[in-house]
Amino acid sequence: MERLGEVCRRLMFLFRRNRFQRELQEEMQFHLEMKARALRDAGVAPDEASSAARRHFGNTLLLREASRQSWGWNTLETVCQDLRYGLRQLRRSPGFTLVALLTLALGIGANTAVFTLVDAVMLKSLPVTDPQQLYSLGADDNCCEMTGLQGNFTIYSYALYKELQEHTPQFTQLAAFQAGAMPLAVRRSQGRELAQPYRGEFISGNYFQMFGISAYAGRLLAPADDHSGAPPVAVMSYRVWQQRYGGDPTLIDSTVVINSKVFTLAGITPPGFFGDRLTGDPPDFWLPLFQLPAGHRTAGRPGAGGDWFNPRCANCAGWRTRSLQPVVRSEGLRPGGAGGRRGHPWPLRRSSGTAARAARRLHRSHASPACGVASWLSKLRRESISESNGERTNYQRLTPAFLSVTHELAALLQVHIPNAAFRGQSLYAHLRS
Amino acid sequence: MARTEIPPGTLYLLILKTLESGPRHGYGIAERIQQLSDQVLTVEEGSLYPALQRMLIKGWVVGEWRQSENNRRARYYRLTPAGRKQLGLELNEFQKVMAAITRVIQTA
Repeated sequence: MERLGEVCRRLMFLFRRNRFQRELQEEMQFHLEMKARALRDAGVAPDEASSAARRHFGNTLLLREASRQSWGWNTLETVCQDLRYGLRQLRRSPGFTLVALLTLALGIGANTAVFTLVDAVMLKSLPVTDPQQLYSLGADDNCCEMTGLQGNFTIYSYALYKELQEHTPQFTQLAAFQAGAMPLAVRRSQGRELAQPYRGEFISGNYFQMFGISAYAGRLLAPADDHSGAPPVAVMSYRVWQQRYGGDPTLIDSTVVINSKVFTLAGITPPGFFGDRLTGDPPDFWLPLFQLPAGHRTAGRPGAGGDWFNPRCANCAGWRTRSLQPVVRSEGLRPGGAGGRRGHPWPLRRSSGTAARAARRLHRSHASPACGVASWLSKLRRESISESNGERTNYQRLTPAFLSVTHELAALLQVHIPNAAFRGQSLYAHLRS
Repeated sequence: MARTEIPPGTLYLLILKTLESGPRHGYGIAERIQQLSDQVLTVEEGSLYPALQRMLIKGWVVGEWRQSENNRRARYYRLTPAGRKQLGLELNEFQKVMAAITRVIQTA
């Protein structure tokens, strides 16, 4: 309690410094006069009395300083005095001050800019549920270099996707999506507005479930929307909804015409969600895989077996391959550690082995491997799931890689599933447990 | 006039005791101590005022500005309850020490 009072008194001193000085001065003056008077009463001459008194008193300034110091704010006062002095000096040389200020401003500004960028791009996780549970299956985030020999395979066929989905229980969810985006022409089905260009992405039915995203309005795509024969449903991004349509609520559950096909707009994604990767051009619409337009089933040379998955297929017109990094979610799957469904420990390495085995099974069950599948399989075994070395994990956490699907893949699926004749260099894996 | 230094550590005690009988200003405190000690003890202003400041900070005394006897403004110091408690403590301490010193002297 006393300490508190003492602290308060010390603090009050800060606000009353001037008054303190004046009072102390007055007090000492009074003391001097009393002493002089006492001396005069004792018989000393008046002027001598006062000088004698002053002598006995000692140095008043020193006394005042000593008294002031006992309040304990010496350091602060000294620092303030130095600051004021520094400011005075700066005012006296404006040129130097200006240069110094400019330099500081540039330095601080540059640092802030860089850090903001790094923070936005590298340090913030994707706005999804539990980003640290997301992993990518595949070696790379190979966005746009699909032709030519590929050392690392990151594209998957739908068949492998399904196979993995069924046979790797340690993955909670495995979603597949198109690596790049597809240009779409979208217009409302009512009214006479012209079609506007947007970017769309084809995704598997459980894409949003895997991310744990819930709709901002309406509903998002569900697995029920992603099979042949399902009514065409699309999902719009929040940004487009606000910027191009002014947040028009009548859009939800209305019909839109996308690339001359009628879709129902099921809902809007939440405001922070921008897709599965950090890109300058995020997708505006998400469509189910099975809605891939027939025209995009290319490809190349049907006679040669429809090798549109062959990345060496240079003639594959209209075929866009994107690197596919399957994204898996597993609650228990930790890099280098135990994990798995229902408490079964399942280290990351084993998961990659399982995935590779599934791929091999698929490979064996279907004839005529496409070129490079074997090499892909070995790559998958080695590198498929990024291990927990530091930067890799960070990278994964930051931009979970997803399986991308090529248009042809889905188209192929539609055409060839009944035939059970798959060729694939791009493989989807969708594991769902 | 010979000036005997106040034993170190006893200044607070002397000031507090002087103020026990009523508020005084700084000069009055010095004068009273000198008077009571038969001119033996003299408080230097250089030690009196810093000591008073410290006592103000610690809350043993409070200062009030009043008209003094010769119609000049002076700061009068008054003992607070905390000051009284401190006075008691210091007295005990002093008496303990004095008794110990006396014992040492007498047995020598």
